Parts: sequence; structure tokens; C-alpha cells
Amino acid sequence: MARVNVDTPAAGKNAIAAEKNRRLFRENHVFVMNMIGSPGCGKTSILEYTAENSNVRCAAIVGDVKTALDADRILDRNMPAYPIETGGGCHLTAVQIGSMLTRIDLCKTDCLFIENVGNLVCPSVFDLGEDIKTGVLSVPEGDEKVRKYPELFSRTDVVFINKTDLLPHCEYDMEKIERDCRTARPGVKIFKVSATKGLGFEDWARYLEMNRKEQQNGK
Amino acid sequence: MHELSLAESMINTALRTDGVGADNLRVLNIKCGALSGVNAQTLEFCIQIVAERLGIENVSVVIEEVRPQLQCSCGQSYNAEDIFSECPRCGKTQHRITGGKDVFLESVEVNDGQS
Ligand SMILES: Nc1nc2c(ncn2[C@@H]2O[C@H](COP(=O)(O)OP(=O)(O)OP(=O)(O)O)[C@@H](O)[C@H]2O)c(=O)[nH]1
Ligand SMILES: [Mg+2]
Ligand SMILES: [Zn+2]
Repeated sequence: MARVNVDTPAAGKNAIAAEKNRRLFRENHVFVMNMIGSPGCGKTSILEYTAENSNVRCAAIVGDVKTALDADRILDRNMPAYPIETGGGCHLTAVQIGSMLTRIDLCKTDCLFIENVGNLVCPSVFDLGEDIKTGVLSVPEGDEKVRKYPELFSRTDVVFINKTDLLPHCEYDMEKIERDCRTARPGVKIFKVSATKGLGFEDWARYLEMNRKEQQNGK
Repeated sequence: MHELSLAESMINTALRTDGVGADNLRVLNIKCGALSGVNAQTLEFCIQIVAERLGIENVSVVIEEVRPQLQCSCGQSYNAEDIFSECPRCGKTQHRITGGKDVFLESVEVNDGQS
């Protein structure tokens, strides 16, 4: 037997499609956030709030196992939104995103949100070509989520902690979860918000605006 | 299940390597990071399926699971069971993750007619 060194990272079909998406995003100067969180943590609610309160030109791709309900909620607030029904799939793939991109006016978009299927496991390892992964947590889910899902939170440059209005009703150690987020991903930006009450979005607004400027300088 | 597409990618990589073919490929040596989100057993299963489909017989898959590699702000570099563990030198948890997220095909072994 002879041994031959190969030393090549495994890049399946998804990784190849993701690179293609990424090139397209860069060429069009679009900042892309892949939003990942449990079912019901408030991903769509955060996008609804953003649609109503931000002047940044945003668009959303919304993945759900079934229905276009969430995309419709965002559309109702005048943000272009494109549903992907995965039909059982527990995460979005770069190929699905790629085939949606022909329908989106990327030249007129500064920031594209991709709302992934509610799930903390599979979406974290499927690159869609995004600039950053964004974790979405919510207070009633408990404060151990970052420890339980290190694959995701070691990759998130932004984390929302949503439903802060429920803090008085839950046992939730905010300091601990923030510390865990930073241990898993040093430099992570944390936004503590209540999407339905519209609280705590000041830093998020500044963050979006900063990224809009960066993208527009390139256009 | 992305393990299947990773399995295809690894077998393709192996077969594109000089001196490696469907007739002589015997072992794939793989490193699988604990933070890769790839399940080693599923990956092995998928490689066997892909190999069978391509008519590659008797291939074995050796998967070494790689723990997270951490680089502490104090300078210490270490492998840890999980990323929330404290630095063995300074006791802090201020580190960058420098390894353990990837899956790669490290090497292959081929039958060269000698034993
Ligand atoms: N109290 C409270 N409820 C919230 C908040 N944000 C969202 N919700 C509620 O949580 C529920 C789920 O919110 P969604 O925005 O649909 O959550 P999602 O993450 O998009 O859910 P999926 O797409 O199904 O995974 C809804 O009933 C929201 O009204 C919040 O800040 N506070
Ligand atoms: Mg939703
Ligand atoms: Zn240290």
C-alpha cells in the first residue's frame, strides 16, 4: 500500500454554489445576513420591525418548510420578500438561494436578509454565500442555547436576543448568555431587543446604516 | 444531509489525485472537526454508498475527529473538549477558535501491488 497526501477540504455542491452567490453579492455590493434561530424566536418579527423603521434598501428571502406566510408579513411592510418553501427541508441551501437571485434587483439592494428555516443545527453548516451569520435567540428559550449549539454560535458575528420584554417573567441570565456568545465568537455584536414592542433597536439601526454606507461607497 | 455531498466531493478529490483510481483506492484518511457539524458515522456511511455506486470495492474510511483548537489571548494554544473550557495556563475563556470547524481529506492509500 502507498500513501498519497491530499490535504483538501471537502467542498460539496453546496459550497460551490455558495461561492457563486458570494461573488454575485460582492459584484453588486450587497451586504447579506443569514438569520438563524429556533422556530418562533422572532426572526420575521425583527425583519418586520426593520422594514417599518429603516431607510436602508433591504430585501428578504424567507425560508419555511411550508407556506409563504412570513414572506407575506414582510411584504405587507413594504420590504421586497421572496419565499422559499423547502417542502420538509430543515435548512436553506446555496442552490435554492442562487435560483432566487435572478428575481431580486440586487443593484437596488444594500442589505439582503435571508431568514433561514427555524432550526439551530443544520442551517449553521450550510454556507449560503452570506457575509455574516446572525443568530437569533429569545428570552423564553432559556439561557443555555449558546452552549448547546456551539457549531452555530462559533460562526455568528451578530446575535439578537429578542423578547426582552419577557425578562420579568423568565429566569434568564443575560450576562451569562452574552459571555457565552463572546467566548464562542470573540467580537460578536449583540443586540438586545423586543421586536414586537420595538425596544432596543438603536444599535441595530446604526449597524445597518454603517453597512449601507459601506455598500453604497462601492456602487 | 450534506454528508452525502461531502462524500461525493471527497471521492472525486481522491480520484483526481495522481496515481489514484477506482481500481486501486483502498483507504481514505479523513479529519473531521468537532465544530464542523458533520457527523463522522454518517459521513462514513455516505462514502461507502458513493464508492459502491462508482464500483470501488473494499474501501475503508478512517475518520479522525479533531477537537476544537483554541488560541488564548495569553498566548497559549490548546485543544479542548468544548469551546467554553478555560485556558489551562491563565484560566480565562478569551480565545479565538483556530481549528475544528473543517472537514478534509488528509490522504488516501492505494494498492500499489506490494503488500
Ligand atoms: N413578547 C414578545 N413576543 C414576540 C417578540 N418577537 C416575536 N414575538 C412573538 O413570537 C411569535 C413568533 O414570532 P416570529 O417572528 O413569527 O418568529 P420566527 O422566528 O420568524 O418563527 P418561524 O419563522 O416560524 O421560525 C409571534 O407570536 C410573535 O408575535 C417579542 O419581542 N416579544
Ligand atoms: Mg419566520
Ligand atoms: Zn490563557
